[in-house]
Amino acid sequence: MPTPPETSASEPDARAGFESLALPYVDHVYRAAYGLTGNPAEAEDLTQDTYLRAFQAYEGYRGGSAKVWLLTILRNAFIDRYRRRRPEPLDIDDDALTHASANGNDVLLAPGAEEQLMSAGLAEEVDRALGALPPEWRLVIVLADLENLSYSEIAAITETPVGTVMSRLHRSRKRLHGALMDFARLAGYTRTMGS
Amino acid sequence: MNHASASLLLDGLLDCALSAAERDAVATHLAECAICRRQLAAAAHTRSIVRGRLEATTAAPPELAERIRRQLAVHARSTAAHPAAPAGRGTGDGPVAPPEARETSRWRWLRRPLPAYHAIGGAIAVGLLTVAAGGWWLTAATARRAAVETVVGLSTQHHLFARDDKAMEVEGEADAVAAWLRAHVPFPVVAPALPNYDVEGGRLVAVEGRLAAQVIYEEEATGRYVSLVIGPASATVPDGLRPLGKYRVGGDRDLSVAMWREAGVRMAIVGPLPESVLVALADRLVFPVGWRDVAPVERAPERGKEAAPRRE
Repeated sequence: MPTPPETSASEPDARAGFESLALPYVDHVYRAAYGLTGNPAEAEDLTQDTYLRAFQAYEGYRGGSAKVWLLTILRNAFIDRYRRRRPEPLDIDDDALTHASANGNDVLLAPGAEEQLMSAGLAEEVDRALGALPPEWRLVIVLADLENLSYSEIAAITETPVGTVMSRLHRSRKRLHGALMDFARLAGYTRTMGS
Repeated sequence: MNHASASLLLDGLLDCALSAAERDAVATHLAECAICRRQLAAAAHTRSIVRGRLEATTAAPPELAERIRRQLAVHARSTAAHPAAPAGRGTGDGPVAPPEARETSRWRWLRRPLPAYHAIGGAIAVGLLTVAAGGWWLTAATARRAAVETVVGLSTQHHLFARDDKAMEVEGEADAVAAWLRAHVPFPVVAPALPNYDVEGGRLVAVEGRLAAQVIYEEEATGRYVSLVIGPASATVPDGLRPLGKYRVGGDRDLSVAMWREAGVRMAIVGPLPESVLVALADRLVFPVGWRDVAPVERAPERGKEAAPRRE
């Protein structure tokens, strides 16, 4: 359990305490930031923003998972930026999603095709498909698939019920699968399940 | 259990997030349902591909932690110096100019003695802008003629700085200097922190009829000046400067200049240092978070109206 800061600590002590608590997670914060922004420069900027905000809020930190605390601040920092820059919603309604994610569930890559497809542009297609997800969904994918956080931790970070986390994960994966299989199908690297 | 209820639990199965009872129920359903087995395989497949891609592409730059440390140190110093000042950028509250911003009089230099190091700084500035004006904002076709005209104008302005640092139009903390400059130019301006240097102030310079912003730094140990000059993005990088990493570098006698593009503007750092040292200084600039997002002020305050004595 991390030690909360002493309220009477001097500034250098507080900063040192914050750095020892928070900086070990810089890779995790950066990776989540990259997942959200899809852009290295933006991810670096967002990570720095997150740490500055966290430092300013450090006095109120009362223990618990520092990683979850930092990722929650990251999400809030991202939302602030996103809303300033773009008119699109951070989330989309379920109806829109149902139509968008209805394809591809009976198709898989042919054995051995993944490696070939990566060199044929599948990596870029993954980036594109991730980038096409609403940011809140993308964050759930990053937190679950990359950071291996539990649903309750993701729910805490995204400030949503666990059921919403599960729903977003499920629908995001369906949508991603559809997009990736469309790409693979065009390249001739798919097989129908059971074949 | 039907398809709909099982479908939502399949991801939980993949993520090891189900209770024992839920796992058993899903397993029973999967044994009987080919559709859900296909869905599970598809989800696992996608998860594997996406995870592999995310892991392969998202390593943090090795210097990021050190950059954050420097940023925190700068923030801590700023907070200690101005504990009552409102939070600035990086908290999501937008830019706030500390109250220390003071616009300086353009003519007070006439009444003051002239410290020798100011003359040195002025000579540096003249040299710097001579170099910069030789092509930074200019197209190749008009560079020579325009450079002459520009250098004359800039030299005149910088002669004031050479005679006295009161030619600076604003002094104060970095945020305040940047805020003042931002109010006068139609592009993003920043006064990034530079370790071991203090921001002395700033001024506007005209290059080819367009405004540019100059931030002046003084080295704490030596009193040596360097300048950061920020201009519009429409500038071209001058020919004749050699590339060094992301910079273009060049110099004249003891003066060097390193130029680069940063977030839609052109920047140049200039000073009486070798090119490699100057590039290292440029690498150490600590840019405030979110400065790219600060829109230019639409209506600039009238120059001179907010003037206040700089040092009495």
